[in-house]
Amino acid sequence: MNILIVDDQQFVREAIKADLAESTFKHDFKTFEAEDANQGIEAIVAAEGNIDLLILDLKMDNSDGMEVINFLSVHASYTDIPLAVISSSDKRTLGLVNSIASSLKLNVVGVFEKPINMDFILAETVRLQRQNDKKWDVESPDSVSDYDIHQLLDDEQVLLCFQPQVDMKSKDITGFEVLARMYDENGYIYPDTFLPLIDKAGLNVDFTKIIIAKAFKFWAHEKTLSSYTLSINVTAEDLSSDNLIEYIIRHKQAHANIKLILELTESQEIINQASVLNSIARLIINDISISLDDFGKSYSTYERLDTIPFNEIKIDRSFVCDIDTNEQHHLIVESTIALAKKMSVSVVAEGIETESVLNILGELGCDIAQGYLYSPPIEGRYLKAWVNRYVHKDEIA
Amino acid sequence: MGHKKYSYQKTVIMRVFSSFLRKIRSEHQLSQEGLRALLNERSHSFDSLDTISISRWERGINTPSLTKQSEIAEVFGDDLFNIYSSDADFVEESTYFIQFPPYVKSDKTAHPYYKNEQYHTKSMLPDHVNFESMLKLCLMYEGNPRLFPTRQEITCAALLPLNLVSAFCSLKQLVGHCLFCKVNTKALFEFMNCSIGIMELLNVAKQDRANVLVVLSSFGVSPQIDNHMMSVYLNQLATDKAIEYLSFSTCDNKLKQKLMQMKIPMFKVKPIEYQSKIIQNYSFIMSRSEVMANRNMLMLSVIPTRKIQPTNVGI
Repeated sequence: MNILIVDDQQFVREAIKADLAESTFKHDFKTFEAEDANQGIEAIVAAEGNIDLLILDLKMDNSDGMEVINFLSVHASYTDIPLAVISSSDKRTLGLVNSIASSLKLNVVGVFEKPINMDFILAETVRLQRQNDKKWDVESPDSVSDYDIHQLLDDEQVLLCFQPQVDMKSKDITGFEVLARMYDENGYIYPDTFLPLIDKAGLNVDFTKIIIAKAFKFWAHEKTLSSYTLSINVTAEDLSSDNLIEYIIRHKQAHANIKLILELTESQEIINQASVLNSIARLIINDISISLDDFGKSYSTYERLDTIPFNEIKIDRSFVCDIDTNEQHHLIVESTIALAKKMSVSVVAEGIETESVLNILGELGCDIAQGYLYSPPIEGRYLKAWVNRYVHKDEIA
Repeated sequence: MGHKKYSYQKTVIMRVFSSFLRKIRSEHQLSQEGLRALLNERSHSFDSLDTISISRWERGINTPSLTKQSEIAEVFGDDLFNIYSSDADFVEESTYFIQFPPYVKSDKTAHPYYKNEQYHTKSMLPDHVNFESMLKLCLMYEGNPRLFPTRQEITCAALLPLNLVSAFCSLKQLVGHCLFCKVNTKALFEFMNCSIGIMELLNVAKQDRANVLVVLSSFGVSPQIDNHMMSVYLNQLATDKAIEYLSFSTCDNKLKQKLMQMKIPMFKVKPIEYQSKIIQNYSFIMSRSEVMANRNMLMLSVIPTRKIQPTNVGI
């Protein structure tokens, strides 16, 4: 078993070797050492990736472990090397590195705080390898790129789901956000999968049109829902299409009673182009509200808030979902709500899943709540029944 | 063989649906145009539907996606599970997922000690004499520190809502298991966010009306047994109409990958710190209609594994 130790401190390398010598794992360990990232990379190349465990220190004298991690990630033949990251950094940094390495699809044994327990790392490696060696049984019928996005859109294989938004004080439903699903003969396809394909095919505007048309048709048909706001996601790119803006305004004019909110999601930086600002002005003039979606996720959010007269901001779910346990997120949400209050903009918090998160948001003065605590996205055909149940829930109890 | 089955031809699905369509149309005395108008009125998914498509569906030349099929079925007060589980051919096709082929060639994927022999399954409730030891084995595999972290005095009454199904081969060796229970979504989201622990979750399950089936562990040494374990709870979900959602809460990477390959979107990953290491806890949740529109899941759900009755002998 070949083990490569990349650590700038000799005593750490010696300690690991000593641990291995005394390990309860009966194995013929062959160790290699490197004292910085470059040496480590050279050793990996020299061994042609034939390494059974790579122990990598995060912080070294004149380099850092991230260089090695990045190297592994761009060389497909090395991504399988079991990687154990060791460090004396704080837990947040360790968590960050772990998520980076996992997202790069490296074979991560774990991220371990120093002092390390070598036997434990070995046990984890063995467990991981055993998992990986098991072959895969249910294989997907087609890979992501096999979806024929043109065909799916032509056939309008699109389904609208709705997630309720609830007034924090009165607990009344205020409106719904439209969430799209696509589907084929194997099942549902989710935005994570289809949005990049639509984007790649240059069909963003066509897609948004389908959603607008379907949502308007549904809202116009279901009279009982007309008092609720209807929130639809658009991107900055959508807003630079005059044709789409015309389309939206025509729909709104034909159904003046539908309270349409366009949620401007994060995307390109083109938001401040004159054409986009012009579109936004036209929408506002036509009585369409604009909401700034995913607030806090992008670096340009404050700038946007400054240029565009938003009616509403939506705090991103990644900040909201754990404000009861994450002090930083709590601070971010608190100051966002305070800012919105000062600017007289209404605040929607997304991603509420638990009672304690809801209570904190209530204390912070958030206006509208959205999340799985109230309901997962509801398919259009079940929406009326859900509203009925929600409105009459107290009578049953 | 798992491979072949998943690149499955749509012929049986087409035939089942076409006969369903012809049946309801004659029962409701609708012309093809009448059916088109009715669907058009009831749902926006059929805005561009024409009678030519209906005719093709009925003749089995073409078939709509399961998502559309389920909308049509619901217009007539029926559902996909009822339609497909009552078709013997479809059930038989689906059963191939959990059975071994008649001949066994040397297979690279074979398990080190398990050679595709026949296996049998056993369902257990917490008052079974072997429940605790089987649960321990299952937890050891799952490696989820959130499941019963303290082994202190857990009475079987406290575990009551749990269901454990185990698969054994002829050597009495454990070759698969699944662990699940029915709870309500509110408590489930508290659990997924680590606001409550497993004991509180089970406690809630005893009091409130359950609307979600949550799978805590699911595993088989071969693809067939793995599928069999999955079919157990999918069938439970399908037959208990009070259950609106299916959920998974697991630390098992293999199960996570299987779900992702079945195109189930991950809801949440929560890192848990346990004995100075970080373990990822994966959560999934999908609605009943999402489950039934997923072909793999629909096929597994129609296998009548509910016939395995809980055995509670020996107490």
